[in-house]
Amino acid sequence: MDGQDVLGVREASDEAVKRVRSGSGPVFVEAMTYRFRGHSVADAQAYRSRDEIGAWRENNDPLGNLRNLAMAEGIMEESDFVEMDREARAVVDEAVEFAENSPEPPPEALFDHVYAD
Amino acid sequence: MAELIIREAIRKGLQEALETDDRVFLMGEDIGVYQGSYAVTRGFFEEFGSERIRDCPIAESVIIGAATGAAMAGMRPIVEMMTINFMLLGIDQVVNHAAKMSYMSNGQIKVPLVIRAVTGGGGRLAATHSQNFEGWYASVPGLKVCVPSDPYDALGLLRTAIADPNPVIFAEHGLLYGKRGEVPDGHYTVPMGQAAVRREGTDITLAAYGRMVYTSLEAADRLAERGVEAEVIDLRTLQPLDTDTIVQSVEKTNRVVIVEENWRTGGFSAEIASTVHEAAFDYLDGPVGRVSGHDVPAPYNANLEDLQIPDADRIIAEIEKLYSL
Repeated sequence: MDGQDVLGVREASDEAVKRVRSGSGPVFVEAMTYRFRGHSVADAQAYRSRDEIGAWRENNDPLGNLRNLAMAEGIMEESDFVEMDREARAVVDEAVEFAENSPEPPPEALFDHVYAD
Repeated sequence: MAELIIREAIRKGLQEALETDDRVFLMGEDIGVYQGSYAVTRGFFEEFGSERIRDCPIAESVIIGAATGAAMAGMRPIVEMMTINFMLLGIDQVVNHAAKMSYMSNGQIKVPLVIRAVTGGGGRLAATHSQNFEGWYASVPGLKVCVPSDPYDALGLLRTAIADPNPVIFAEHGLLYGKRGEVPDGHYTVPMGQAAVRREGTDITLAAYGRMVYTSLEAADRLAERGVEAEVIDLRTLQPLDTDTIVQSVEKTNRVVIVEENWRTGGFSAEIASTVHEAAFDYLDGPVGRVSGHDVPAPYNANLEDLQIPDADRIIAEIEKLYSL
């Protein structure tokens, strides 16, 4: 199935869980999706083109698709998403700031938490 | 004579094996289209094709199991395990299958398999990507373990490993791929079980392998400034282990410290230390010392990771403590 379709994945998962709970055996859901970023910062992504990634981002981003749907259905407005983006950005910025402004751990921290107290 | 880095030396060894022996083929994750996670197999997919450069799914046990089967059937598979950390997912195939076929078949079945894996820490890759498990494999009968530290040995040992009728774990330190050195153009090999003396000295022996050879050499240089001449031995292979070279050195220096990046508890340095104690007891002026990684997972924080891994300071401190040098 289309793994980029958020509601479709939800529906299929609901159906799969129902079938499993009803005792009719295991279900395999194959949701085809696309990775927008490389495996890590070391991944130059030589195995695919920028155009290919761009086309997927542009036309088939699960979040973008859901956003468009929510607006088309009148459930949410553009300004709601702007506010959500702002909040998300603030959370990340705050975390980055906290990390960058934190002191280096002292040498003895090397031995902390190897075992739980 | 050419000057190569370790990455190029290993690549050269793989290339010539692929060119000269039809039975040789490579298996691993991202070794083909992606050109290798550490760029060792760059260009191979284009040159040798998908039959011989086999991009495998992320299933380490399947890769090692299939390669073991291919080796039993007469092929010469060379597996790239990306890192020794991920190889844990295939360890059953290594220890319970590849390592035991010869013994359990009364010598009827051979497993000429080479498993290459990046080992070691220091790369800021955190706890699950920075481990040293080559010592574990060296404790398993039926396996051989190579731990080259320079391009000459990397190529020479790889040739020996590929020609060996047994499964060989070829542990490549991730931070040594760029290490440069002279490599002869003509054919040569480096035998397993033969350590190399990297620096001669009369006062203390430092035995190390992999990246710790360089840490030991740095410590030796600093010791020399105060008139202490350290002999530095590069073990080159852990299985077979060249005890004789260490013992001969200890007969001269009467002091020895084993340096290993791995954890101290159960580390391979303990095995070496015990063996040297038994073999060279009468020559020793004190206990065999060990400098190892601290017994904690690799920290992500750079300063802490540098503290976890042995450095020249710790080697010198251990020498001062044990031998008052």
